[in-house]
Amino acid sequence: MADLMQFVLTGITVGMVYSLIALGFTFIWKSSSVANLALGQMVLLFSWIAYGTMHQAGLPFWAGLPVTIAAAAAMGWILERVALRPLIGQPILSLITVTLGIAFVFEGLVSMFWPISTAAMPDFIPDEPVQIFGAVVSQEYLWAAGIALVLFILVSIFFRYHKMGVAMRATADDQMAVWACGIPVTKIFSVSWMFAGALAAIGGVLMSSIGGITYGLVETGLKSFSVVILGGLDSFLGAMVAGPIIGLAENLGGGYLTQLTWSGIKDVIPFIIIIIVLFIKPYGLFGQVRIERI
Amino acid sequence: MRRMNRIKKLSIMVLTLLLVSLPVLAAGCGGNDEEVDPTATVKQPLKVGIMYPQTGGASSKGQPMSAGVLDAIKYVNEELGGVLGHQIEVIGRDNGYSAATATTIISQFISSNVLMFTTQASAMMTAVMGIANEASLPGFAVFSAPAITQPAKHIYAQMPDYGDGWAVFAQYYMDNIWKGTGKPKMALMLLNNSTGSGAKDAADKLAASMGIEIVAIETHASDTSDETTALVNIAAKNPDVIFISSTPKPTSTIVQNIRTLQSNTANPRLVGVTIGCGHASYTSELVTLAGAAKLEGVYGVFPTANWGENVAGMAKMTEYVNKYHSDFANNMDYITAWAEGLLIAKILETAIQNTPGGAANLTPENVEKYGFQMLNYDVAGLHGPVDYTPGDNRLSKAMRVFQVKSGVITAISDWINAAYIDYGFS
Repeated sequence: MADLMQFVLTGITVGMVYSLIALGFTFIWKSSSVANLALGQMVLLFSWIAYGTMHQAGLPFWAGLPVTIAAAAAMGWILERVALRPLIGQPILSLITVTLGIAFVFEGLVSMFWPISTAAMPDFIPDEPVQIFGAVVSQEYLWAAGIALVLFILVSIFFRYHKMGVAMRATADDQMAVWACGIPVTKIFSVSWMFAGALAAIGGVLMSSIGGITYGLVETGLKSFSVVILGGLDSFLGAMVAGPIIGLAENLGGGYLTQLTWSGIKDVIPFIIIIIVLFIKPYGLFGQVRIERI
Repeated sequence: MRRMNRIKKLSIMVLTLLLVSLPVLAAGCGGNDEEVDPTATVKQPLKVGIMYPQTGGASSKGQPMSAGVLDAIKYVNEELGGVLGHQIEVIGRDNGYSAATATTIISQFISSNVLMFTTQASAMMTAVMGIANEASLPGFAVFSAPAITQPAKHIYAQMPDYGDGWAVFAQYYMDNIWKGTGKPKMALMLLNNSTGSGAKDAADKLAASMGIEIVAIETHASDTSDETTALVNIAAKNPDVIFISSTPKPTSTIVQNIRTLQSNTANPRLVGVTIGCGHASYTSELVTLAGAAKLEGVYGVFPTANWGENVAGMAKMTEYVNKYHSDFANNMDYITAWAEGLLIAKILETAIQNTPGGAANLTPENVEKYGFQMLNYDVAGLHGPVDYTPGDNRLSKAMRVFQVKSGVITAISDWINAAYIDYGFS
């Protein structure tokens, strides 16, 4: 029983960390239908910027985090303005390809400005473990999970009730139609990339406070793709639910199937689940079903 | 229309003038008052391919290592005047710790007619050694696994491999740490590539004869963010010692997870377990990521000298790291790669000295036969001495055991020679 509790608790908290990153991906998709392949690199770059402000420049956390978020939002704005805006109206594949290019540029920037490759984020979340029903989990994971939940609520409210959020959803549906209605599509794109940058920065700060700032953040960012595919590309709820599902699958599978199968099954199980779910629900658990007449 | 013609004529005149003046300009730029010795000849450069994981999953090792090897070659070229007067020409490539990229790079090396090549990660050598062996291009891996050098072909290991790392730690554990009765129970936490499998190969081969019982083997990916589940499974087997053969990031995650489980007063697990690390992870990066407090008491093997030790090559290396890459001071991967650079130079020097006809007749085959296989070098004391034993393609065989004490990686053993293990690979 204690083992089960440990697997469940670890799975949920680790999965919520995946959800946190996945929210950034969903934000861009929901407002512009662009699959942002630079997500992992954004997380990495903004983690280094956080390190730069809080450790190298010596700003306290309460000042460093807003500066980092502002820098990430500014970077998002620049990206949209310089790299993506010229492609409005072009095939989506062009935009996705550009995000891939942005990923390489970000990696280059990181290597250029922070050649040390690894660093520990200054301690701002206590890492003493918390005991829950006989299981134990580091506070860092609980903070990340809690913040992911708060962000999920905020962005959901924003998209559902705020004028800009509604306009973003409409833009994702049909750019040309929205443009024809007089809604400033370019402004919407700018804002969505600024928000996505800010989300990636928060995710990066939390992730790197757990495991340090390494290139592994890119791979963890990429892992979040499996979360958004399972949850549905355009669903915040999907991202929030799919993260813990994948975390639980990894941990319960790793906990109980390793003895029966092989060590490493843990890494395969989430993908088996994704394949099964996508067979049954091709748009993911909460994705919007789009039917096009041809 | 007349105006257009005038512009056209003017353009042609300017272009003609430029073309006519080019040789004069070129002569002016290149000219100086120094007299050129007509008998002096420029010795041909020695082309070497070096690949490193500057980006990707092993970048925390690849960045200090690429800095170390390139600094060492800069030192050889600029301060020592090259290798017997020949500059080393490096074709350096970032493989991103990607097997696909590495196979492209090895093809570039072969088509560029390099004399030899190196990789820094065993996983990358595993990806390219088939192509290199086929082309009879000699090379060595800085960090290596047994399957790279056995059976012995054209690929060598700079130092003992991950199998040797396990064997040296296990022997040290039996001789100095284990105080219980009967067989100690050991669990293995392995990265899911050659870094992990090398340690497993040695454990499979030697554990029983050394009196060690392997009770659990768990593998993990390089991007793992939590290994609690695997550790709970391991805890159920009640191990005395856990050996981790992985890179710094996953190792730091595993050590942190162990400490978290140990702190559970309601259901304590892995209390009192000894932790040992293979040499792919045991560097200052690990201390940075896991935190010194959590690493306190953790053992590790490593095949080089430590920073600040009184060995011949320490002063020059320290001068370079402080001058060019101060961020990597105290990083042991920089030491291994600096030694890699010195070793490349020594292999080429040995080959020139022994090849009939000297540098003019250098080919990859001659570099292997007269360079790799005729080595006898102490690498300025930075790691164990280097020589070749027929059939054993590990060039250096010595390792040491370290322990984190008061937050510092501290050597606790003298050099231990890693005996040759015949794995029976075909």
